[in-house]
Amino acid sequence: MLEAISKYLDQKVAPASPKFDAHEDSIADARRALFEKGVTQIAYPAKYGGLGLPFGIYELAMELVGNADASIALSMAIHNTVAEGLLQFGSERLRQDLIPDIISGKKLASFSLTEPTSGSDAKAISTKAKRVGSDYVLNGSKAFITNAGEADAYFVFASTDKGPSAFIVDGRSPGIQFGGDLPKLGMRGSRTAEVKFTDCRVPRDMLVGEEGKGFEYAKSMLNGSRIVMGSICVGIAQTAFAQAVAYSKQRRAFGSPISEFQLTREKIADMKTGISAGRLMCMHAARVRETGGDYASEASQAKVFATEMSLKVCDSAIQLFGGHGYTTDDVHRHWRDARLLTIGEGTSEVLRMLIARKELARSL
Amino acid sequence: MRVAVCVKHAVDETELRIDQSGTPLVEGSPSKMSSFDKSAVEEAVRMRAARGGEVTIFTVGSPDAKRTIKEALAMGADKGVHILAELGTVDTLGTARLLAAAIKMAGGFDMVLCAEGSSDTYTGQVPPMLAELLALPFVGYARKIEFKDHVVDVEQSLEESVTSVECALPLVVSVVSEINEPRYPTLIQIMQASKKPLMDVPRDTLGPAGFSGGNVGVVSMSGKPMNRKHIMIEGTPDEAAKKLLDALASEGVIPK
Repeated sequence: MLEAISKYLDQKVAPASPKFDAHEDSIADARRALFEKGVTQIAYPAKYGGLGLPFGIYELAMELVGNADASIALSMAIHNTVAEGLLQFGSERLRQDLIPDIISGKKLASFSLTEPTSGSDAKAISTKAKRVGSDYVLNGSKAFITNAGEADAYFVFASTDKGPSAFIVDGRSPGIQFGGDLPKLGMRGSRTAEVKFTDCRVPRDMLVGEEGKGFEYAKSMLNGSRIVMGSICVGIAQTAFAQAVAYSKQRRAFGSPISEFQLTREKIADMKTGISAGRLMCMHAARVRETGGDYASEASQAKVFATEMSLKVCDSAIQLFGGHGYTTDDVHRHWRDARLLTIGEGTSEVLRMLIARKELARSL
Repeated sequence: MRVAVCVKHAVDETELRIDQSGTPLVEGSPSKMSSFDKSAVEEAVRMRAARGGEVTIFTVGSPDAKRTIKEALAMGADKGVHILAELGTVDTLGTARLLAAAIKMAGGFDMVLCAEGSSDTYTGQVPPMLAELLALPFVGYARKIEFKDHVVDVEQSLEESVTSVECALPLVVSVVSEINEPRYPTLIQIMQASKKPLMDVPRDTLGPAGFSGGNVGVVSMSGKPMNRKHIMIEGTPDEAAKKLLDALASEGVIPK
């Protein structure tokens, strides 16, 4: 199954990836094709249109997507976090109405938590949701939102009198507005923009779970998502590594290929060792999740390690390419793509705090 | 409409390594469905979608060849027949005999589809041999197959021309890859493929054909080195362009 995905990505997606980075082409068609292939259906129960397979298979599939194009992987991963939230906390009606369409890609989804002045600190959100009759009325804005403006459904966190709460907001609702696509260092194929709510009415049955539990929901949803972000970074690193290894065998200096030099070999060994370790950490976190354990620490460890490892590997790839690395989009775009992920879905700093807190609590 | 498709579990030519003496390291090389065969499977699946019926995949190969049958089943074929034979124990005629015997045993096919050749050895011998053994007409190198009542109109892509022939069913057709763009199966189709019927057929259950390995043995195989010329052109852009044109003309790439 993974081999089939890999073959498709190699032949149909990876060749177009530089064009997505250069804004010469949109990721929409390739993303739709991957939805249709079933990548986002892998870990969902058959009753909601899923394939009923372990989360670890999804996590590995997303590594392959990240390997072919990081922007598509990011867009798909964030999209699928919404289905995860509905599966964990949504009413049966919301699950049946939305999960099949989201995981098959018929509806594109967006996870809207971050605000201009709050990120992982979800308790501090300032977007408000006020009960008016049978609706909630939302006011406020969300920042750096992936898939904003393209998505059909937004998983929005807003505070009611009881605290942070989660809502599904239709992308066509009156009162929802989107900012322009933000110019980004990397992940340029995916759309990132502000989402603004002005007296945006949301029907009461679009509340996910219970009022006041949004912070708990966000934490739980992000755990799964963090493993996937780590996997995407493993994929990015693998692409940069493969390019750099091929170049090191071809580029000659002082009469021999640079792959013959000890310092090049040290880089190659360290790059590959990091990639393997990152992959194993993501697989391990997925395994702990599958067995029903508390995997918040393992997911965060996997994300911290894999994202930081990916940056180092992509940096070494640029170094091996020398001047060409610094001046060629197709080499430095991997570093630019990976750079997001020590920030998005929980910064490395926040995640280290989380890991330490969990481990201190686990110790006797 | 019942269509039999013959596919080969071939050496993955993109992964084949060659040792220092120039010998291809075939044993232990990764293998996959011969890439041209995907067009034959795709054409059969499209025929079934348009005209109903059933698509059966036949392959001769080692236990690993099941992966190729499963891939064809994921693409939409209905069932598979795996004739068990280890790599290197049958030549092209032996393969054609085994396939013909299994196809006869299953019986009742309106069409047998093959690719023009395999992506590893590309002898192109099995399809016409198969037609001869099945006593059916053979049309090779099809780039378009159209049904007209009880006959098919086949456009053949020959080396320098396209020929159109009409032929009654049943028949054996070999297709070229330009006939269609093979689909990529979805993950759910890959999962469903493992539930489709796949029959193992030991060689010795196929009568005399089962004991026919063939008469051709491979004495040696070697990779042909391709030496690149590495011509460096120097000078100002205008001078370099002129030298490049002269070099291309002297190589016969462009007219002098």
